[in-house]
This record gives sequence, C-alpha cells and structure tokens, in this order.
Amino acid sequence: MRRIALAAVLAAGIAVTASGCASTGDGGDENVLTVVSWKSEDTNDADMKTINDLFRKEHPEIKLEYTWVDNPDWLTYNNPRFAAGTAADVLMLDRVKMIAFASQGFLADLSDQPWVDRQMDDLTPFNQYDGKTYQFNAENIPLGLYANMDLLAQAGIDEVPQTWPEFIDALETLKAAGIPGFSVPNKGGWMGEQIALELAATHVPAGWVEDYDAGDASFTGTWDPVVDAFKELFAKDLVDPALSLGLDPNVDAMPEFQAGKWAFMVQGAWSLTNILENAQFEVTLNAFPGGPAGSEPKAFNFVGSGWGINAAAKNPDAARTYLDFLASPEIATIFLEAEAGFSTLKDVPSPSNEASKPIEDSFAAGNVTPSVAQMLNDPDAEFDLIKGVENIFLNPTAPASDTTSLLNSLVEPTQLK
Amino acid sequence: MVTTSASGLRRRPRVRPLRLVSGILLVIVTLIILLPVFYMLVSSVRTTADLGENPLGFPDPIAWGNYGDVFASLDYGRAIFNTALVALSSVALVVVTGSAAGWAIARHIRGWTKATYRLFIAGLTIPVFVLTTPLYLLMHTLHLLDTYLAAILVYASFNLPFAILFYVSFLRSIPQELEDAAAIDGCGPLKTFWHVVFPLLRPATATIAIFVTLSIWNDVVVPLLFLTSGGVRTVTLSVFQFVGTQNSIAAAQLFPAVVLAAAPLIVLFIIFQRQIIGGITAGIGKS
Amino acid sequence: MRLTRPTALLFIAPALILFILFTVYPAVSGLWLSFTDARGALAGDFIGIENYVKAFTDPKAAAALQNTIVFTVISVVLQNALALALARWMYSHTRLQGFARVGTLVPAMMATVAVAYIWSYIYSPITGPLNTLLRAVGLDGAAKIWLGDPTTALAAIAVVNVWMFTGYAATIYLSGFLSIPSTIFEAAAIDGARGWKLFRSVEWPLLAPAFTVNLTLSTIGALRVFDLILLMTKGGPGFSTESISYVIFNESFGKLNYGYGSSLAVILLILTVIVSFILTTVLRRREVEW
Repeated sequence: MRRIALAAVLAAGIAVTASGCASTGDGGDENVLTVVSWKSEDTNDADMKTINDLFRKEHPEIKLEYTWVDNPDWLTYNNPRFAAGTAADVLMLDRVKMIAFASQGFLADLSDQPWVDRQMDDLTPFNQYDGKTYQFNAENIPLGLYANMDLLAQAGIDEVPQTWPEFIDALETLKAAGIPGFSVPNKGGWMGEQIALELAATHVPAGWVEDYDAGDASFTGTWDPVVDAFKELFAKDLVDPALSLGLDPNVDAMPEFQAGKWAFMVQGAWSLTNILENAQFEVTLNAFPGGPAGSEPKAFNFVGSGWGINAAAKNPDAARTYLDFLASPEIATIFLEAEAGFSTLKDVPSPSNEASKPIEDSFAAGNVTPSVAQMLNDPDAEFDLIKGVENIFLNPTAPASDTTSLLNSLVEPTQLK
Repeated sequence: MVTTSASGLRRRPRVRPLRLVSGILLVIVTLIILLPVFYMLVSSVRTTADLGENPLGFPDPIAWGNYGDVFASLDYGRAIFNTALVALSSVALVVVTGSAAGWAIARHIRGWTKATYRLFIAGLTIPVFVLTTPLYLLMHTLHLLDTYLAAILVYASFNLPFAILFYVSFLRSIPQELEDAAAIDGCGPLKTFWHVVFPLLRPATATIAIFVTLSIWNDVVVPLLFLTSGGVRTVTLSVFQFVGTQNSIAAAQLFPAVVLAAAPLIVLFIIFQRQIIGGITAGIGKS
Repeated sequence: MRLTRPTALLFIAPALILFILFTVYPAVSGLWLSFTDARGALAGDFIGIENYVKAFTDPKAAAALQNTIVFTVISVVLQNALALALARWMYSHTRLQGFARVGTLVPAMMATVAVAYIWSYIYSPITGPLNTLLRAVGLDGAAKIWLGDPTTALAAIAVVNVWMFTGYAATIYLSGFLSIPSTIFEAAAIDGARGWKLFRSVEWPLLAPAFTVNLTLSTIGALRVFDLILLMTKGGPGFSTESISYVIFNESFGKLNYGYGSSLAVILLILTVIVSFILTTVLRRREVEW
C-alpha cells in the first residue's frame, strides 16, 4: 500500500510538472510563433503538416508552435485567452468567429496586407468587419448534388437534372424503376439545412440577407419556395421525412451512397476524394437543380477556414509572414487540393477534377455563391436554420408559413456596427 | 423442511424442472443484456461494406486493419497516457486529503467538525453544471485552462464529498484502540495516521480509487471544458471529437473507436470485480 | 490517540481548502453570475432576477424541464422495476449469481461515449440491428425511427440509460436480499408465506435501505442527464430531447451566455435539492430496523 501511495504522490508530482509544459503562448525571448487551428497537423488535415514543414524549412528563424483545438470548442477555448492576453498569435477563423472576436477588439487590422487585393470580391463579407479586413479566407468549399451516373443510366436517365421539374421527374423515374433516389439523412438537422441552402441559392435574391438583418425583410414569402420544395418531395413520396430524421449523414448515408445504393445525395466537396476512392461507379458533383424549367442549377459555397492575427500578438511580424506564406499561390494550391475547395484568390486557379467538372463550370458561370446561413449576422443563424428546416420534416403537411414564421422568430436580425 | 442456512431454504426441491428453466432463462437474459457489447466487438472487425450488407452478420473477412487507422486518428497512446495521468493524480489527491479529513472528522467529534462534514456531504447533490461556468472563469484567472492540473483539481474536489462520506463511515465501524496504542507508543498524530490509520483504511481506499477512476474515465464534461487542445485530451474526449465532429466517419472507424474507448474500463472491472461490487453495495448489506 | 483541535484542523484543512476553492466558491459565484448579464469572458452587470424571468417564460427552458422530468420518470421506474426483478431472480439462483451479477454490471463499466455510439448505431432505422431484428421476426410495425422521431427519441435515450444502470441497481438490491436474516425466512415459512405474499410482506419492507439508495442514485443521475443527449441526438429532433443540463451547456459554452446559463443551473440545483430531500425523508421513514 505504501508503495502505491508513493507512486500516486509521484504521479501527482509529474502532473504538476507536466501541466507547466502543456500551456502554450509564453514565447519568451525566442522567435516563437503560436498558431491555433482546427485542422490538425497530427492527422494531416488539409495537408497542414506538409504546409507547416515547408514553412519551417523556408523560415528556420521562426519556431512554429501549432496547436489543434476542435472547431466546436473555438469560442470556449479562445475567448477567455484573448481576454487574458494569452491567445495565440495566429488563429483559424470563419465569419462568425471573426465577428465574435473582432467586435471585442481582439483581432489585428490586416487591411494593409499584400494578399487583401487578391481575395475574391464576393468574399468581402467573410473577411471584413466594420470596413476593415481581419482574415485571409483560405477556402471556399462548394456543397452540391452528388450523382451516381450508373444508377441513373440504369433508369434510362443520361443527364443529371438541371432544373427542379427535371429533378422531380428523375426521382419519379427512379422510383418506378425501384431504385432509391434522393438520400436525405437529416439526423441532427444538418442535411436539411444544407438542402435548404442549395434551394436558397436559387430562390433567395441577393441582398435579402442585408435586408433581413436591417429588419426590412423576413423569411415569409421569400423562403416559401424553399419550404414548398421540401413539401413536394414529401407529398410525392420521393423522400420519407420521418425516416430522414433518423438517418445519420455520415454513419448511415455515406456508406450507402458509396456502396452504390442511392442515385443522389447532397454533400460537401470535401467528401469527393473519399467517395472517388470507394465508389465502383461513375460519380459527378453538380450544382443543385432548384429552379424552374429553363433555369441554370445553382449551389452554395461554405466559406470555410481562414486565418486572422491576434491584435496583441507576441510575434506580429512572424504572424504576418505566416499568413503571407499561406496566401502564396503555391501553398494555397496545396491547401485547396487537400480540401477539394474552390480558390479564394483571383490569381490562383481552383484545383480541377473530372468528377467535379459540372460544379466547377457552375462556379465559373457565377452560379455558386456564399452560404446565406454564414452571411446572416446572428451568430446562431446556422443552428436556428437547422431547427427551422427540421420543422418541415416534423410537420410535413403544415403550411409553409408555419416554418417561415418559426424561422423569423429564431433568427435574430442583427446589425453590425 | 426447515434448515438453518438461508441458501438451504432457498432450494425448493419440489419445483426442480421449473428452477432449471428459470436458471437457463437467467443466463439468457444476462447474455441479452451483454448483446450490444458482443455486437460492438464483432462489428469492430467488419468492413463498412460488409456491415452495410448485413448488419447482423459475422466478420467476413476479419478486418483487423480497422484498428490501425483508428489508433492513429485517436492518438490513442497519448490519450491513454493523459487519462491515466489525470485519473491517478486525482485519485492520489482525493485519497490523501480525503482520508486525513475523514479521520479528523470521525475521531474529533465537535460542533465544527460535524458542520464541516455536513458541508462536504451537501456537495453530493450539486449538479456539475452548477459549477462549470464559475470554475471555467476561475481556471482562466489561474491560467490553468488546458492543463492537466485544472482537471485534476476539479476532479479531486468533485470527488471529495463521496470519499469523505466513505472514509468517515468506514472509520466509525472500526474501533479506536489501535490508534490509542500507537499514541501510547509515543507516535505523534502524523505518524499515527500514516503508519496505523492509513493502512487500516486500505479497503475503503481501494473502493474510492476504483470509483474515482471509473467516473473520470466516463466523464465528458470536464475534458470538454478544461482539456480542449490536442496534447492533453483524454480518451473519452478523443473519441467524442473523432466520431462526433468529423465530416465523414464510417462504421469501420466507429466501432474500433468505441471498443478502444470502452476496453480499458472493462479490463479494470474484470480485474477488480470483487472490490467494485463491494464498493457498490457498501452500506447496504452483503455482497 | 486523542486529536487536539489544531491537529484536527490541520488534517481537515487540505481537503477543505480544495473543496472550498473548487466547489463551494464556484457554487456561490454561480449564484452571483445568475443575477448578471455576463457574456463570455467579459464581466457582467447586476440585472436582478431578469435571467430567472427569462427562464420561466422561455418555451425552450420549459420544454427542457419537461423533458428532464419525463426522462427521469421513465429511467427511474423502469430501472428499479427491472433491477428488483433481476435481483430477486439472481437471489434464487445461488450458483448463477456470480455470473449474472458480473454480466449485467458490464454496461455500467463502459465509457459513456462508447455506450452512446453503439446504441445510436443499434437504433439506426434502416441498417440498424434493432430494426433489422424486428423485421426479421415479422414485427415490421414495431420498427421505428427511434432517435429521429420526437415521440420516441427521449424514451429511446432513457432506455439506454436503463440498460447501462439496471445491473448496477440490481447489485444493490441483491445485496439487500442477501442481508435479510434467514431467521426471518424461517418464521415466514412457518406462517405459510410464499411467492408474492412472501415478497410483499417480508422481503419488500426489508429491502427499504437498498430501495432508498437506488431511488436516490437513479433520480439524481437522471435529473442531471447530459452526456447521452449530447452524444446521441444533440437535443433533436426539434427540441424534443433537450435536458436542462444540455440547455445550460449550450447557453453557457455554445453561446457564451454565462449569466442566463447560470440561472438555469441554479434552478436545476434547487430542483435536485428538493427532490433528494423528499426522497430521503419519505424513504427513510419506511425503512425498518431488524
């Protein structure tokens, strides 16, 4: 027993010492650059290991300390550290997080940085707050309609539908042929929101978001076609809303689509590599056929990870060097290829893939626009949309106004200064 | 027929066939309860396609490779080390401070020790979420966020009420003579405690150590708030972040991850089953 | 060994300091926070009972309270009924006792993450083993979209909780059975008590201590349910599985509304204290000595 107790005390001692090593942020005199990211170096997310190693090679004078923190924990982790002055020099950001930090004065103004003018123009709402640039948007990932071309051919369909009536027709044809059509795994509500955003890319006019946040517009009317599209899928028995609520997009739907069981599924381009690896059939990634006859398909971009700098960074110069490095065409391309994302820089071409050619063409034609959910200023907009759209699945026969008024009450119109 | 032993009484010879059926049924019910555990083990070595084809089948072929990938993605070795370090240190802290306080409370019975005891016991009913936000702010002030020490201090404090309750009731059930004898031998209180009392408390200490370890291994909340960055994650958090927040996770990754999360605890249970059952039933009656 | 007052204090001090710093102080400071509009790391101003007014008028908080109570009732009733039956069963099979007790305890010894993810898969509507099994035996109608249907999701999670802890509760009841002195059985046998009558008039009253412990443990555990919900449904579909603890977590750490989250935590604390007070006073009264 004595020996065990001794070991335990020893362990406690180790813990106390070890805890000292675990805290980051104290640079001291060395040229240390601290970075916090939700793309892990250990699992080489987004090829960050490769990118950081290149940086270390090019800048041996800077000691890069790269910490991974999970995305959902972002505010919990970083906000108190900002307040205490112990936050990292460089932080991964998206629009919601940028606004949360910039509004408290925690981020450095990067308007004078060389990469600012190279960022694509429609990304301005995603990198600016109060007229100043606070982040470098590193990726722009489209979500689109994956189609299993072999199954479509089996049902005698040789082209991916381009409009909503064509899409409904295709689903009817597939159903008649006994082939499962549109996989809508909505457990947790995420998938429903993504499909709603695809439909919104067609039906919600540019400028609506600004009007909504100014209190001059509402979901009523504008979003009716989005809700009605879901209701049509349910009413025509092309999607079972109750079953959808029980299916997990990853655990249930992804393996099934990869096994060739479904003709259509909405997912992010980030899944493309994985799907191509496993699928024994021809697959394409397309913009979403949400519009009336004669219209072009549209889709939305999830403006994903970007990078910003702590206003009180201990090593501001190295931080700017790091962002410059990440924005260089060579490095941006490595990152984009790993993420299967679209470019955010005017002088960097998007990586291309045969399977995603259709959505790339739509992007080039200006039919792929940033996500409405991300452009709304309410920091909980994404979560609110999930709950609102879930309501269509829970009450599939209720009038569209039920859902739109629920959305009006959930999403708070928010004006930034 | 009347016998003096309880077990003899329970044996009712006239209904033997019924008893046999009832016994077999009990075994079957136990196995049914264990079914999800077997299912987890079997599924962990099946490929995603195989599992999708027939969810209730057996592995064909056995996909041991599932484990290799998941092992790396979870950073399992590191996570196990972190969990063990946090659990062991918390146990040490709870046991040392709890037994000392328990001894003083049990042997120095005054108004103020009784009040202290009641204060500790009141801690048993406090839901963890009442404390999380202020603790978070406190750890932030102390610059302890994201360090092992934060989790250790929180776990130790949360588990003290249970440990003190346990030590005090244990001490009340054993006579004070040994301690008195030590005093006659000229031992001071510290020596008496360390050489006489602490060894006497061994069974209680074992139970407390096991229960604190179990609760720490199971916990999601404290790591979620106090051990958020990659290097200090515990197994539970590592599995949660791997399964719960990835963009795409297949069944072939899910089940091995789940087995890796559960295995250490089950092994611990099998080794210490007598102590654990003794701990669960302490204060009720016989085990 | 007679402990003097300073020595006693010395022995109690480390534990007391630890407890005051990391439990008592946060509890008191949580109470204070609940009267402020604190957000994130920014200290808030005193706003009186505004958070409490919001809590009592917020339909989401009301739904969470209702869900928590429904979850608690289902868990406590099912878990105790099953555990009692299981314990009685194990008690009558001396030789199988060891196996059955260890076997049924295994679920309680599994990490909650593991349990939650296994059961999410078991409940999956198409490929999930539960529905596959039900269809295989011809019970197609009984196959449900367990976690996706607001009418079944909460109960489905409660069942997982029951699965986890029935063996634990049964272990406690079994030890209650084992501690009934044989002389009492002999007396009952002479009176001709058997079966249900034996259970009702002899065993049940003597199981009172085990019943108190089990009821208190399962009720307090169910009232603070959080991890299973976070891991299995994240509160959905709709708001149908949000518990009070889940809402507190979401408000405090998802939206950084520390003040409002703390007021909900205080409400949960009061609820827990009231329930455990009622349980202990009512149940202790019917415990008998022998």
